[in-house]
Amino acid sequence: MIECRNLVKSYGRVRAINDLTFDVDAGPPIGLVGPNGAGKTTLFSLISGFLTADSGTVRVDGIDADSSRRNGIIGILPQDAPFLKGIRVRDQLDLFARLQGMSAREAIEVTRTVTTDFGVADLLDRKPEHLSHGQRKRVALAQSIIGQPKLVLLDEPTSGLDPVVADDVRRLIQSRAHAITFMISSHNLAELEDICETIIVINEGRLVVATSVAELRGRDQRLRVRLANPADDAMIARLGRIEGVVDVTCANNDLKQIIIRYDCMDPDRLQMEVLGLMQAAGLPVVELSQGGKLAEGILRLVRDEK
Amino acid sequence: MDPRRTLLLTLFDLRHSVFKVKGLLFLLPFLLYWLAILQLLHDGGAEFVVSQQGMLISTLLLTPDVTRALFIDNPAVLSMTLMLGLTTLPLFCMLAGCNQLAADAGRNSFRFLLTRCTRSELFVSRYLSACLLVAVAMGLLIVAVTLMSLHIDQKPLLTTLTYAAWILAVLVIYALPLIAFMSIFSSMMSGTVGAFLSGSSVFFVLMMISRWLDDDYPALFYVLPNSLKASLYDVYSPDIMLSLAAMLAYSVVYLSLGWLLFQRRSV
Repeated sequence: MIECRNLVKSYGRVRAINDLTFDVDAGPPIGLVGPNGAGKTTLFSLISGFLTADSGTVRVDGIDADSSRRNGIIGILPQDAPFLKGIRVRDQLDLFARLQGMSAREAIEVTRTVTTDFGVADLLDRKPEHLSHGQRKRVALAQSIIGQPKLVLLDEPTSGLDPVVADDVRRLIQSRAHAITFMISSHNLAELEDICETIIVINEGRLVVATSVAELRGRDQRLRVRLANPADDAMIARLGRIEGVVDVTCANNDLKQIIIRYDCMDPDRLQMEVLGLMQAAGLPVVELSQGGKLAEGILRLVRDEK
Repeated sequence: MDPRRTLLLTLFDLRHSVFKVKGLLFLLPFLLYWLAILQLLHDGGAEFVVSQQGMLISTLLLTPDVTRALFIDNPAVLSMTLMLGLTTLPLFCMLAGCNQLAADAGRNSFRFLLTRCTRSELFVSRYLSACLLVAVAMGLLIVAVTLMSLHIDQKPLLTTLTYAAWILAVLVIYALPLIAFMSIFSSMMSGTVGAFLSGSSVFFVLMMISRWLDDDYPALFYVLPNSLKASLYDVYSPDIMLSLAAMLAYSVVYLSLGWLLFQRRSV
């Protein structure tokens, strides 16, 4: 779906995108992650054709980003970009639909459908400058899927939204994900963990990693054990002696929450040994999970990169 | 460039310009100015123009042949409109053309459009929309002046109508390069005021330079389209068609410059 090859974009002396190369297939939502200034918005602007790359190429569905044939393939929710001032939402959405080849009647119907889906049908006769931040965001989200584009780029889709609306937005993305490939840039990693299956991490304009969420979680070599009763020091020592275990700590000094850091190729064997020890000591295990949270995996990657 | 999308964008922009700041910036001064002129013509100005005194004054500005062609052979009220129109069009076209792209580009509002159309379609549609706005306003003005001319000049109906159509064509064609000139500044700037001030300043400076240095550098005289304005008064001159063609050439050159700037602009 997206092919980036040796993409470079500079603003003066600052390289926002630095020799970025990656491929993304059509399918489940993709998360784009990176610290502030990593180049996420610039990358979206290059993919959408708002900016021209200094060198390199970016193709969407096999079509160059600056080609006129790309029209209608991409939908975008840009970060903080306003609609045309003083023109009713309805007129603007109708125009977007007609630009994508629909007749006047089809455009009216599509506008009605998407705005109903996103709960903004009652805002159609308002002017954009009279909408609140959250209302503008929802209208902008609705416009991004007009005409059923193949790829939709969402830049911070839920920032500034209240939790209920944010949850609605996540559900809407998931409900459309079978037909549209979403690429979502967000600092809300828990949200990306929920929605996305693939994560692209960039930092200082370079690719850090492009991989699955599960793989990224798995890179964190830790076992988390939650017990019904506190473990004693002897148990901690026994866990530390298991082959491949690096260290054993307790989260928040709570002896019911044990974190086992390991360095071995067979975490399943390790899990079995840990469970065996707990069972022998009569300590009921409430939860055992392998790997960390997505946020921790990404933070470590970015820190390692620095 | 897709003609359907360009037409859609043109009509959309025109429809939403007329009663908004973008259109009123041009329409209000245009309306006030021409109301005052029509009032003057109605209150005896038209009779004065064709009087002996008026003709004498006209010959100070124009050659006797041109004066006769404008004020005796053809309806004088319409000729007066042609002269005043050609003189004031640069200012009105700056007002009509300064906000083709500047404000929307400055606010990043094109981002919703540019995944659905090309920059070229957007650029051309905004230019066409500004031209149509000026053309429609000019058309309405010429209708009003033609009615006045039929009443005051007492020339045959067909002569008056033909001459009115000719004047409208000349004025609209003269407006094309002026609006194209403003597209250069509208492509660069991020606000209406900035585009107007930069465009009008450069126009004024170029006009002054071309007047001062035209002896040493004759080519400078032709940097702006108003260098050919005098030939547009002379309705019997064989050069008039060449001048009108030159206006189209000016438009192409200015539009190319504006287009190049808009293609490279970050939106």
